[in-house]
Amino acid sequence: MLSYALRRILYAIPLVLGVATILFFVLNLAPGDPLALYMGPGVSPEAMERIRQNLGLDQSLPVRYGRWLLAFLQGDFGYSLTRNQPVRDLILGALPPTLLLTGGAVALAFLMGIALGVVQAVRQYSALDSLLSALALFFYSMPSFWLAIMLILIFSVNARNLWGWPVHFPPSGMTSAGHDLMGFWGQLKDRAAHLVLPTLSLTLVLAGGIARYVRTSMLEVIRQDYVRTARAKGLPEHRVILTHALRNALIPVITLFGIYFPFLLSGAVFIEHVFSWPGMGKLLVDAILQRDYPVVLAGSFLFAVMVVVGNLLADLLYGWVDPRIRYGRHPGGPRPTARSGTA
Amino acid sequence: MAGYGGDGVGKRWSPGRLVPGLRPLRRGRWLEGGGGLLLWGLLLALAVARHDRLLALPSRGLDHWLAALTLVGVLVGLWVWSFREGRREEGERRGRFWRRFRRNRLAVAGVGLIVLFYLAALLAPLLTPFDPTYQPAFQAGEMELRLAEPSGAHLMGTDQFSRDILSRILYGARISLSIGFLAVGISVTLGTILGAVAGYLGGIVDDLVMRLVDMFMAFPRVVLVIAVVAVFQPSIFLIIGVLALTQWPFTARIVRGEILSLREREFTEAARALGFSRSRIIFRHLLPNVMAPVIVVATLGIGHTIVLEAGLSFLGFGVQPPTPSWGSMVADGRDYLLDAWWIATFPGLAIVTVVLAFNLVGDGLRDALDPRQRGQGGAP
Amino acid sequence: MSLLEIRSLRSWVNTPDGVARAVDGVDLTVESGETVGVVGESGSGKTLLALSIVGLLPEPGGHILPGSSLRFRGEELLGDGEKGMRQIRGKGMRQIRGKGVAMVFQEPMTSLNPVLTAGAQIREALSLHRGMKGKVAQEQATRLLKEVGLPDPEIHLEAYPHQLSGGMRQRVMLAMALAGDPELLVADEPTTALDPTIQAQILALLEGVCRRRGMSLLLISHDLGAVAGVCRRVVVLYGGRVMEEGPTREVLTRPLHPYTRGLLRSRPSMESRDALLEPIPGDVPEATAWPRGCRFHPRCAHAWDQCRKGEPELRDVEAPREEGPPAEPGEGEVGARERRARRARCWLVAEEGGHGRE
Repeated sequence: MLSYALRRILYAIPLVLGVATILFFVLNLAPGDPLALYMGPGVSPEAMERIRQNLGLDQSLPVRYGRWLLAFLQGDFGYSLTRNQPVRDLILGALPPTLLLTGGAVALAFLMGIALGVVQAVRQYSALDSLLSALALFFYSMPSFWLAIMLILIFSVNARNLWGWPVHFPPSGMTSAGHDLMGFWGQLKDRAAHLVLPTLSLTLVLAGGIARYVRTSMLEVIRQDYVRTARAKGLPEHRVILTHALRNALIPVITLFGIYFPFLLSGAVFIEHVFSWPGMGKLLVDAILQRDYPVVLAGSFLFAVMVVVGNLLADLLYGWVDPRIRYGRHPGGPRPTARSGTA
Repeated sequence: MAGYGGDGVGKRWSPGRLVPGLRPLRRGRWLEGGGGLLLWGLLLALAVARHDRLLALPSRGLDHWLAALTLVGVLVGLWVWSFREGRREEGERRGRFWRRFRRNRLAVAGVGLIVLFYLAALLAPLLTPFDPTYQPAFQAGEMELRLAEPSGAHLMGTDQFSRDILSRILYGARISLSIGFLAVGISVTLGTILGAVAGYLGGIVDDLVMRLVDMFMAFPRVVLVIAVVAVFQPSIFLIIGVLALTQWPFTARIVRGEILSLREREFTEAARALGFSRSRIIFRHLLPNVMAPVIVVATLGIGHTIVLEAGLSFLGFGVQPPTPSWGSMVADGRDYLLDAWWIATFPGLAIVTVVLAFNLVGDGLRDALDPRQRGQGGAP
Repeated sequence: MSLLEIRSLRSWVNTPDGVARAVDGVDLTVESGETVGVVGESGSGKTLLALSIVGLLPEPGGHILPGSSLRFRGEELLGDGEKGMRQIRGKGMRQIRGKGVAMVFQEPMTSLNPVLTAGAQIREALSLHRGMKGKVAQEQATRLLKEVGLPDPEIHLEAYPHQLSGGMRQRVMLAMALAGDPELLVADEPTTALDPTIQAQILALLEGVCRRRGMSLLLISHDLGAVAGVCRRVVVLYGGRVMEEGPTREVLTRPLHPYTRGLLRSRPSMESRDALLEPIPGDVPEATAWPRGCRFHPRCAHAWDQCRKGEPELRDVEAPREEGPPAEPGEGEVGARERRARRARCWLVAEEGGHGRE
């Protein structure tokens, strides 16, 4: 198990480096002079040349790559071209909101998806199963940004029309104006209210996919012999489903986590854009629009790192949860010995 | 669409091939046959009735023409494919497969939906009198049409430039569908070839390709696509290219896995013993067996691609105005949520419907191929 | 009072190809402490019979027909379920599964939960049926593993199923079954998936365990040899119905039903090493379409008109011989007679009044 984990981790490192390299070259091969966009027409060519030298942009590509890589590995991500801040600070500031959003969405989506998937599998062929299947498919087929806008339409813009209930959720930002003036509970409520719509937009789409997958996995597990054995033992049905069936069915779902993680981050990009959520996604999109390459580079790199880490976590978790991988064929387990004569 | 061919039996140019609906009718399948014939008749009638519009197609820019051509290409491709002669056993297996697929009513409904959207996209100019592109509202007498609610004249209302939403949706379907087909088509081809080569040859080639695959899959797709499209000028070719380049790893992985397991089976050894060249083995013997899960993933992938393209347009990185794209329509509607909810709602519904249809078909294909197989999960 | 009394049991399964009448009128009795073998080819309905006893019919589609009766220790287990079908009621279910009747299945490879240790699964049964927890459960589990012949039980308790061999897994299954101290053990092809050498060991184990505990055994197998070594009585199943039954030794030495004779002839034995094996001609018919008349007649060498026209009854062939096996302790008159009963479902046998045509 340890070797398995170590191998996966060691493999991830060159992967991440490779990603960074590709990004670097993609961005630096872009047409057009990045500097030209920032310097107004009044700047003299000599001044521009000096700035270019300062930023090291006059050197050849391989040299730039080498210097950049060195700095990058030390955590120095350079300086933002548009905002006068070290890129690192910008990113560190934008990371928590994104983590808050995506973390919450993932957790919620898995909870919902697993619950729905189990219900569907247990009540296969029933009306409930069909209904939930349809819902899951419906949400799974939706672009998250559209769902976000529809949610805004329903809960922000037309909130008062909702069956007389004034259900209103704020459509943008993490906090309202005057947030600092609220008491502790007020601030908490405010933050929570702002979280609702963005999280929901991400969660529902993700949950749809998870529910489908869990349903399929559960259906297959329920047909297995060992579930029949558990029933024959006399265990109450809920224990059969939860302890025996679900535990096995969830194992492949973990890999799903690894597969979906990049999509989650992508979705975050759109959602943050729609809700003006001050996270990595918004940072990245704005930077792309403004041609702020250092930020784009560092931000994309971080996204890629998150994906790799997510996959790694999923792989490690999978190896830990499935005893067939954890203990392999022979290590740790008893072997039939010659003297016992039994097998 | 084209004749129900593939069995190599019967004359190649019989009317049964050219007119959809004749052959199933002859075999007694009234619903399919009747439906096909009806469709053919309607299309003919439509073309005749609106022939003036058909002949007076204004130039609408490269994007548009590429989209329209792609759709026609799909049609032609299907028709050509229907001439393929399958081997006997494959024909039987295929027959069983189609029967199982047909039993899945949801999947069949999905196919119907896709055909509907496809036809709507292809025949857009025949179906609507309105011009979907930019039309300034300050032309005399048209002020009142800005932001009009859905009504008899404009079934889905108009947007802030007095453009008919429904028309824009129909033309937008061209963009979405063609980008979906092309991007997935390219990525599947690329992925299949690379995956097959990697799986069959093994060794260094395999390692190299899999490293590439891992690297590409490590990226959040959206980020890479946005970055590339924003940095280089957004054009429909670039969009399709980047979408294809970020999708091929998924196909490659699956193909490689299948090839690996097939490689050890007897018929591969037999082919090798007979002295077939490696490429011949790969392409004529192994690949046909691999195509099944690939088709499933490709179908589901079209759905994902359409959503992704819509997202790109939403952010402004997709096809540029005035070419209508569902994503950019949603973005436009965002500013008018309070006054004109229809601008954002209907395009989104179109996206959901089309993607839903592709997902249904993908699920149906997967179930028909092996009802006991768990399937490929949620990977695009 | 018999331990288990099955009367006119009909368990059918809905399949896409029609209704499979896999168990179509079976009468079976198991006395306390008795070992009974059920023999039949695949498709004879023997597995479904076993599943019916514990109410584990395949869902959806499996159902027990009205008119069936299943009595355990004298109490009727079947109650009315939906659509008039019978099913084991809640209370009956709890009495039966694991506690009164325990089952051991055919495939030890897949019948154990792969993510739980052997010990955890045994302890689960102990907790459920005997209320044992913690250290007490651990000790009892160790004792059970010793009873089923696993050395080093402490090690094996913490093993995962994939780390154990087939024979070991089957022993674990047995230990799990014994955890609830059942009165009847139903073993469905317990050795089919194992190596031949291990088969003998497991069968001996089963026989020994049942004898020591005074437990009844219902051994289901297609292997006559397996049944012969372990069971006192044997029941031959074909076409969803009982074709012949009686004390094992008698059925095997003096088979009455042509099917039984066919089964015996088709087995290789030491004496007939040079002779050709004689398989029974034809195939087992589909449970969705049993032949009319006697269900075996299409494959029977002795079939005649009567066989095609109607299905024979399961008749007592002869009076139970007085000099049969001695009475078991605690057995009543009925039980003793039942034990020695000899029955066959064949027009030949009925016609000749007890002595089959040769």
